[in-house]
Amino acid sequence: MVESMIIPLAFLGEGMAGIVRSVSGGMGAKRRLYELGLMEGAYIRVLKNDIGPILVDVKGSRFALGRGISMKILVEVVE
Amino acid sequence: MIKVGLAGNPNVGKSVIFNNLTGSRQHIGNWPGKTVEKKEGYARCNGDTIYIIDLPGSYSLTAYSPEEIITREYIINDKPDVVVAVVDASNLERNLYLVLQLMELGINLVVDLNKIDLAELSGQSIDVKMLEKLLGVPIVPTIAPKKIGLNELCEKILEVAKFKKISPKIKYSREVQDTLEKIVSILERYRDEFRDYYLVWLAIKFLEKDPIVEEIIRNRIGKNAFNEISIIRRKFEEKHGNTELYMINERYRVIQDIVSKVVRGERKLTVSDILDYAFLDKYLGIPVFLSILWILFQFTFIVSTPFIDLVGDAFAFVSENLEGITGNAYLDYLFFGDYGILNGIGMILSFVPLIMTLYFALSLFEDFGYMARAAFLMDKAMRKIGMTGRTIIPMILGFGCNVAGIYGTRIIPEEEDRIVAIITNPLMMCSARLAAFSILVQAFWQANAGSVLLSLYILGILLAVAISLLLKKTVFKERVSPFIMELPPYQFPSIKNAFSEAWNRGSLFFKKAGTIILVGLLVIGVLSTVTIDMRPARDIEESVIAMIGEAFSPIFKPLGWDWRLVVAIIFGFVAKEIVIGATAMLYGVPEEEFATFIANNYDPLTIYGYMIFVLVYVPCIASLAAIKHETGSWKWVIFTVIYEVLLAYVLNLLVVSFGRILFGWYI
Repeated sequence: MVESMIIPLAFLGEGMAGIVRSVSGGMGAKRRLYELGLMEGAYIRVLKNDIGPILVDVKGSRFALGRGISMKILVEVVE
Repeated sequence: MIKVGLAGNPNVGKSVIFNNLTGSRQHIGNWPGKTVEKKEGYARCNGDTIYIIDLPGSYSLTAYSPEEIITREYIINDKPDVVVAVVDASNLERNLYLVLQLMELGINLVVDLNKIDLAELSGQSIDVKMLEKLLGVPIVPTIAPKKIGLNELCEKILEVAKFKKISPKIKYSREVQDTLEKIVSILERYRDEFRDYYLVWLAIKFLEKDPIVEEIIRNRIGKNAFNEISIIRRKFEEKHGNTELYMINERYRVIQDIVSKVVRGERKLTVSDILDYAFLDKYLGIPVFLSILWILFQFTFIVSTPFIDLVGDAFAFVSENLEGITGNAYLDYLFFGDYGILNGIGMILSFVPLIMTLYFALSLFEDFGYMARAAFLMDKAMRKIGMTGRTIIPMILGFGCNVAGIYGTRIIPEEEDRIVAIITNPLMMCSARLAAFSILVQAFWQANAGSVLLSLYILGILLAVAISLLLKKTVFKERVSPFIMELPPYQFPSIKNAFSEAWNRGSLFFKKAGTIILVGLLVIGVLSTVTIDMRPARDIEESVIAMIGEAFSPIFKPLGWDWRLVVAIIFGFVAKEIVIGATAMLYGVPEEEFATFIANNYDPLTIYGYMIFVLVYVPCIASLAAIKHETGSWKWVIFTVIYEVLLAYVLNLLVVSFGRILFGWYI
């Protein structure tokens, strides 16, 4: 059993998925992310991560997240 | 009359439902003091007429965005009989978050489970009966573009409005419930003070430290009572940390519990996912976007041109033939003159086909879901120059017509970004200026005419970028807003909705911008035909406008203009393509000989400077009317005029002065 790996969302490759373990940053950004369902414990899948904002799927919704904010979301890699 | 509020997340099909229910019986305006759009309308519902208000799309009901504040304050203060929460069935979990917050307000709610077909397509089924039972709120499944379920929605609205009976109960954890009950029991002592409010909602928002609710409570209860509830909150906070984030989590916990019981089936790969692989491709994404933009541009201007010409010609023809019918020169001029009422109405009407085709096309792209993708693709590049991804669309439209560009900024959701896009749009060189400039460049630069025109296009873009960056750094204080955006699932756009959007926007332009244009035209018309002591002028040289031109000409002396060029730019205020015609008229030269005449009398540098001035100075009157209409205030109109005139003058002076030093008097 490999030890679980926690990395910023921005480093999660295309097609990979993880569980959000922590969200840092200002209250405004945090509130926004939480309200959209992007909170600790949420299952998140990366659909696109090459140039520009990254595209993720959370609870069946698609979100584009800027690179800055994606560095502040730490995820535990699951697959 | 029954009053209904329509609430929901952005992109759930709320506006399609609103348009289908109200048809053309709607009124579009702004919320008082905001640039957020307010849409109201009337619907026939089983013989009853109901009033419907389309509340701004929002994900939540916090006190931190104008859309959310408008929604919750409308519900609290105007007390609609029923609020319909439009929900995207293919995205139930996230959408229920807003539903839960609406339930917290203790109002009569009906949930419209829209896009039920998309949910099924993605392989999921929803147990509507079960969802109804768990939420305690009536639910109507609909497919808005096909009008499926809208009659049932109507019936349900009437039923709920007549027999108020909704008492939804949200199953928060024991601990949250206890805390809320404790706060409510204290607030209850001041029951009379809170007649307008639902106490449980106040308690929830107080627990969440909502700044607006905190003030409402502080102003209505005693200091001791306020301390009591603050202590309750502090205890909760000590145990659970940030109460607001805790409550968001709590709501999602409740929602997950519900969703696990009503949604069956795994979400499969949908057509939407496949389309995104193509549209958002690393290499193909941007070329595809540019092609789509080209189609949008061509569609808007090519489809509208024949109508525009037809309207313009018809009014000119009628005016010419009716001239003299009143037997009074003044009245005649007022009605049928070049700048008279009839030609004025013709000019306003000639913009209507443009506005209509523009909104028709934009509505299709928005409904389809492509606008969000365009923003996604362009955001990185546009952000570097102080704009957002969506700004590129009105900018490109501005090359056709700034009026179209300014109305096109509707697609930018953030208020500040929209204002920046509106007031920089007139810097895009529109086709009217292209028409005027092509005569001048042909006269002076023959072989290099194209490059000279291109330099003016580029100058306009660079200035727009510079002004945007400057505004972001000063007036709008660059707020650090992280980029988070939803990409809604693609769907087949509704043609009927696009037509209704086109019609409504076209008529709105005629009413709102039309009056401003007409007044402006009449003023120019009168000024160009009367002398300073209000007698009719024999020719334009005697008119007030010529006096104004001469009075201002010392200021323009350093630019190398004589008074006629000054007068011409006053006429250019009506429409920029008039500048050439007006100059020719003032010199008494026929328009076809004008090019040779101007080339013999002016040097290229002065004319290049003049073109820069015409490119940058005041937008034409139709653009100004559009700015007033879209920003809702004269403040931005005045700001635009002042900055553009100053910028035009300074640039012109710089170019002419440096040019003379570098190249001598002539190039």
